Amino acid sequence: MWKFVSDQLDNAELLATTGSTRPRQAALRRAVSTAYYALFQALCELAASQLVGWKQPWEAFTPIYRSLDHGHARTVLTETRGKRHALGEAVEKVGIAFRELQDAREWADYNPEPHPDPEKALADVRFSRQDALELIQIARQALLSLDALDDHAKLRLATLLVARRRKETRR
Amino acid sequence: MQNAVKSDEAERAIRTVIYDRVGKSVVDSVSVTSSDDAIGEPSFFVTVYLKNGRDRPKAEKTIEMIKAMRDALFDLDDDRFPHLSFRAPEDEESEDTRPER
Repeated sequence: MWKFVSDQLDNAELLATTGSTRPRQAALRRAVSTAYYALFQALCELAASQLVGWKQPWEAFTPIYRSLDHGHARTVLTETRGKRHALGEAVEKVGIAFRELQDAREWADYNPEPHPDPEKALADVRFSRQDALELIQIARQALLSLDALDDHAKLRLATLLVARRRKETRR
Repeated sequence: MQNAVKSDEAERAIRTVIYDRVGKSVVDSVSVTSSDDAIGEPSFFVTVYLKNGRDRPKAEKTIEMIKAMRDALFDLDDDRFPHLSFRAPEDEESEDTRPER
């Protein structure tokens, strides 16, 4: 696992566990956002390291790293053929984690309501330390699944994450 | 896919997955609601209220449960994503940050 992303998750955990009394909502929200970005950046790294390689100059590596798009990554990771993902069960599980984390991050960064679940927000149930820790663990699990992919699956996933279908590029 | 056509059936399928995988003895109750998520897509929000926080499943099992719920929903021609979370009596809710009105 890329040290940068495992450090990101350590940071997220630090934020989620800080304070002995009632956790600060700002800290929990930052923890969730950081956990999502750890997974997103792991995907960016996977694409750039598979398609370019760390040994290549930054001018080749960085554009591929930066080419990933949040919405396209979600489509690539969550689209299935019937019940199953074309790249297998491990990628399907990464997709499930990505979807959970992306939704939570959208709430954490942009929504003033106290919980990502609208019904809970309506009932004034607030996001908890344990909710944040659960999402961090989900991100950690997704990173392990990504790491465990064989080279062929990594390369196929990297290509899909960077390439746009013709229909998408015409938009 | 036709969403919300068979909501009762979908809810039953979700509950079956939860009770089978978490175990009836550790679950206090299960709440299933349907609404758009923060991205704006129709979704289920599933909350499992545990009797004790020590029975909170590990992330790997949580992901497996979401996968099993998605499969069950797929069989009902329902493509709403089931967001899953757990609650236990000892959970520490965050502070209320709203200013006094």
